[in-house]
Amino acid sequence: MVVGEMPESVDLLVVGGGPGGYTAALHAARAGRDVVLVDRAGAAGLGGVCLHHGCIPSKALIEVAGRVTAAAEFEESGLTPGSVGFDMARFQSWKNDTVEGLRRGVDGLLGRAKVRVVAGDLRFTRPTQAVIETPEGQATFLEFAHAVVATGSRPVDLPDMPRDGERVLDSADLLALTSLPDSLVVVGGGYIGVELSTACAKLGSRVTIVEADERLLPAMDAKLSRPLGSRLEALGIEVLTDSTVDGLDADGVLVHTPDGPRHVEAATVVTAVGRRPNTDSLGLDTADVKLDDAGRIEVGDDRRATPTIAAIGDVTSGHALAHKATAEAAVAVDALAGRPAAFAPQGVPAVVFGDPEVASAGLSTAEAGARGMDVGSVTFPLTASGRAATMRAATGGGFAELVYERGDGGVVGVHLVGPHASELIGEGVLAIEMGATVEDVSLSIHPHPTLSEQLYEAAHLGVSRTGSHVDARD
Amino acid sequence: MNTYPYLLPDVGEGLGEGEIVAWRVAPGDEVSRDQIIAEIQTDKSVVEIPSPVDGVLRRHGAAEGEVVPVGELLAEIDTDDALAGAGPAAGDSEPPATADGAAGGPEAPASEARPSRDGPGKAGRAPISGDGRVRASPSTRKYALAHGVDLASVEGSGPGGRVTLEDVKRAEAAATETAPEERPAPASTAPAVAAESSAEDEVVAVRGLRRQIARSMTASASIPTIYDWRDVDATELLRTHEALRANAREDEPRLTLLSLVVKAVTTALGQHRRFNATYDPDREEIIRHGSCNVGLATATPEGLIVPVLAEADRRSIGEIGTEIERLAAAARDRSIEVAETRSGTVTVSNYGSFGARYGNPIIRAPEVAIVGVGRVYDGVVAVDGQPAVRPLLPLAVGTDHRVNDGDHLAAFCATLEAYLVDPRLLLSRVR
Repeated sequence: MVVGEMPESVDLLVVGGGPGGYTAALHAARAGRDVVLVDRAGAAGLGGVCLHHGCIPSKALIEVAGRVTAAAEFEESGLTPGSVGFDMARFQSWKNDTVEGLRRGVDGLLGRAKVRVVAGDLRFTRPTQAVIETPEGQATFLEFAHAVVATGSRPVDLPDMPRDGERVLDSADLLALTSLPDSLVVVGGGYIGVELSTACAKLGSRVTIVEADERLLPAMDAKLSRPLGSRLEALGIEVLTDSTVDGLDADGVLVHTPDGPRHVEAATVVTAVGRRPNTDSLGLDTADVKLDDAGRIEVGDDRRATPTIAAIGDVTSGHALAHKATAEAAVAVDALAGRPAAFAPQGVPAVVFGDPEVASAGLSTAEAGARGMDVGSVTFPLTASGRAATMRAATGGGFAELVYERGDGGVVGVHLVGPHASELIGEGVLAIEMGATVEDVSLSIHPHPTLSEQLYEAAHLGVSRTGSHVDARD
Repeated sequence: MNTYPYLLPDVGEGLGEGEIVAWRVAPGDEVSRDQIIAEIQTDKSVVEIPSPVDGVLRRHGAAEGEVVPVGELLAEIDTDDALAGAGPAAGDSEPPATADGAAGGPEAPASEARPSRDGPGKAGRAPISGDGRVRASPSTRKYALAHGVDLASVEGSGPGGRVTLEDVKRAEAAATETAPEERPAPASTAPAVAAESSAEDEVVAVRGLRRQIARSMTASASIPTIYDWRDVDATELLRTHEALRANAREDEPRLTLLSLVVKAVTTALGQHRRFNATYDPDREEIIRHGSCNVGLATATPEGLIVPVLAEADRRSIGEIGTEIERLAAAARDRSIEVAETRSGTVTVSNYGSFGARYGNPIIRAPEVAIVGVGRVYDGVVAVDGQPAVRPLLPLAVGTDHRVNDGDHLAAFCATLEAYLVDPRLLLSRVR
């Protein structure tokens, strides 16, 4: 590094190659900006945690795991189950190919958009300047007009049981294993813990979940997490709520439960107790960027933290979900360009790829009530769904719930538990964003027999209860 | 602990909005009552805004460089002060001293959700009111945001009261008709500029002082101006200037030629009061002012500022010189008070100080006259039928033809020239 070296001039700098970062880069490049994207791993890191260690690898594992148990679940339907084996090394090979194919797709998009991708650790040095330390140890100064920070988050360690990559793993480590642990303690019953536990149990691990809260998925409405609990039990997963892990010993962990201390044997411990924003080594204070107590970047509705720097995704408050970052990307780029922009969704969907799946968008009745809204809700149980019955999913406790404003019947929340809830929630988001009423949904023909009918049926129940709001108004 | 929504007060200058130049207090910082929390750019000066309460600044209502209309949210302050519970104060230079004072105010705390028509400044705000929902599709909401339309104020014609794109466009058109000056110009022009500029072009946002100059000059463009240009023999003027300077005490500021010119202008205006006037075209009235407040066009690094030398006609040349120096320094370091840039009755523009000889200075509405002063140069003139080299002072005097005609202008300029050619004549008018 030469002191006083002339900084390289960059029009728009994107920090982080995850879903938020690469989307911001593409959006900006298409708007005519000259874009440099810096990722710690360079082009190899494109896609971020989501593609390499999170969403995609975990869904690959969940998909495989679902196939293992599917046949046995249909024994009463005439299938004679045989033995199904699982080779995690082959799984890794397939998963890695899948990830690499997707990564190349992103790389190609960025290349065609003329986005320059640079490998290195970036640190801000001023409100319009940053330095990159490349993997070769070179330092390059950049003078940028605008920057988008999209460096994502990383798993939080347990203070008494830090990750060692051997016995104590984080979610990324688990998804990269080449052989499945025989026994597993998963610390944290949030969505990551539930998803990984379900998949590993289906593949043959003996799994124990330790959750400090009184129930699983504490961040979600209680009625959404209840069906999951019974299914986890049926899969042989032990769930210890109101419990904390006290320490590791030779063959397992000590757990503090409401019934007293317990020793749980486990070859491996996976921590899934939350994520922390990657903002600590970015030199953000030198760029006048403010962090909140949780280390997240404080941004306005237009995602700008300063006139020249915006932040999106897990480094900001709100859901730490890839699709939130993706949606924020265009807002941030537009705002930096001086165009009016605001991240103002009416509902950010949240999905748990458990068994059954749980998906939610917009407000729960409790949340709406807290905002002083007068809402009603209508629930359609999957026990009444023909398609769910043919899938042997009618009795799993699944349902569809519509939350609507009493005044005009506008849909403000959609909550689903059941197979493919992750796919179906998109319709709920559309209804909320478009300001659809319950009656609108009931008048939109849904195909029979499908799971999508559950929203349609819930809407019909709603209309029969409340009548047509349009008629009432006229 | 309550959250006090501090709405940008009218700081007593009748301003409609202010641009945030700097935040002095960051979110999370403690503030005490009367502590300066922000610097606001008004017409031509920077005003410091004090906190009305003790507490902790919760968040800024707008970022530095953004424009906040008077009565819109400046900042939220968490406070235990009784004042906070009574509701926000706006429209007063001081926050109400008692809870009663604020309770009757029309502003509800909903101001946070009210989007602005002032363009990107507050573009970050969603056009959706706080807890309630405005039912409109995402693309319609985006359009409304980009065009500065407050969705909460638009009546929806769609099913269930949904606001359609057509509703927003109608509201936008209606707003344009009724309040052309409130059109969201920055909002609608910014995207076009950004989209059309290429990589080599630099897009400079017109903000702060430059914005004020642009607006003021646009207002002046409608004035039908007639000019008188003449070179005035400055032989005696320079001699007088030298003599006065040689006679000055050491502690007095250096007397400039401009002070003499201003004295000549105010003296001439005393005999031609129709030029020391302001014109109100709406009321079709001309006000001939009793005193002569001379605006002095002053270049600063950020742009032109015109401090006003009040009652210049009642001051000595020495006082004029001292006051010009003080005002110019205050203009340059932006410490000038708003009041000191207001109430001008005529303007003098000394572009000669930049080496310029001839100009056509723009009258500052609602004033009706401006005197442009070029740099003194040696020119050949006829003296007693023979060519002679004399120092010449180029003058350009413009006046609003709606108020003054060519003969009035020529007469005023003849008087002014007489005083400049022979400054001794000023003695007869000295009070």
